[in-house]
Amino acid sequence: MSFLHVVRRTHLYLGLFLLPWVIMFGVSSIPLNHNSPAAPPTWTKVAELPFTAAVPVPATGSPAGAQPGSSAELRALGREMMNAAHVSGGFYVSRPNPRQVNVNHPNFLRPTRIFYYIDEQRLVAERREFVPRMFVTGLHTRGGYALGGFWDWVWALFVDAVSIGLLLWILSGLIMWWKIPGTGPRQWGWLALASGAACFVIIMLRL
Amino acid sequence: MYLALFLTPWMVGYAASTLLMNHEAGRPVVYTKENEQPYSTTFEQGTPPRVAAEQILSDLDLEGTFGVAAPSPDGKLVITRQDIIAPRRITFYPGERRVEIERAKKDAVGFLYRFHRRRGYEPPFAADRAMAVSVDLVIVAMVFWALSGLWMWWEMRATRPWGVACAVAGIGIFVAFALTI
Repeated sequence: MSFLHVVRRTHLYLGLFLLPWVIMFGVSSIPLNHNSPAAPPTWTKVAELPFTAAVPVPATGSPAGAQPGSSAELRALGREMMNAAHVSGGFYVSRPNPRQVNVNHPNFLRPTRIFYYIDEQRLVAERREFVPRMFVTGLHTRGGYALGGFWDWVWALFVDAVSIGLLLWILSGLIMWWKIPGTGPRQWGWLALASGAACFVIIMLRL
Repeated sequence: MYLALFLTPWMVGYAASTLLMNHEAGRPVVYTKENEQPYSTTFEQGTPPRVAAEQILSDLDLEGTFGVAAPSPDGKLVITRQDIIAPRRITFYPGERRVEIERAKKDAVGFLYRFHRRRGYEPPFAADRAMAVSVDLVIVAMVFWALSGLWMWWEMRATRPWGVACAVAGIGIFVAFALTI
């Protein structure tokens, strides 16, 4: 088994395994690149209940607009809110104002948002309707290891795999191009590579 | 193959920036003062911030894609003039009749973040249009590579069994994720 054979097979099988992600990242870029105004989605209330929890206190002397309390404390509160609303998985948490804490639980089909109204000691959970455009763009933008859900973590692992896969396809593609016999493909390849690099540099310098 | 060679810089950029974004490697932009100058133009009460910002950028010879925050109670206007390599922040102090121009410190991570997020046909500038066209080209290329790759694989009989196994596993895992998380 030659080196080129290994390169070709890796290129092929990795491509077949990660094919859905490649198509998804391509297709989901269409609504992102052709953004058009859309009506805001409908959220349906799925839970409303009395809720009391310790809210992180802003550190003394923290700058204006800083997140009150440490992010670990706020995440602990977020987890309490998730449990109270009977939602499991990863989430984002924020405190947009002193009277409210927000939790967003991403889900490709129907995400959930939970509001804790501190003064009213009340928790409200709402679920978004299925919106095809948001489903597709959600697949594109979801990532990161900080959400706190196991399967979100595994998804992030696949995002890394696709990124590394892209770099491997580029590298193996370059090797396969270079190994093609004859001068024609090499000359045209250099032309394509050089013109692409030139266009890229020009656009970046003008943007 | 030639399309892939042409788009190599974009694909390297998207792959590297996705890795960085997935590991939340971005840091706040650090600005350093570039210039400060008197600016005597006055704007009528109620002038939309975007209109005022556009005028300021034009007067400073800094036209281009920008974002502007709502003015503060004293009328201070903060404009972010987008630039993929080093964005500028222009602050207009109407009470003091001056503008301050700051430039972001150049950093590779910030560049890759901005590169990944730059898209769309809304800005009326040629470079933005060219970028949006290149994004569309990458989209077409990715779908084309996926389909042409499938066809080339199917033509190689020896690779069919393992290929089917890889494709079915990939599709199964992807669909399971899309429907559940």
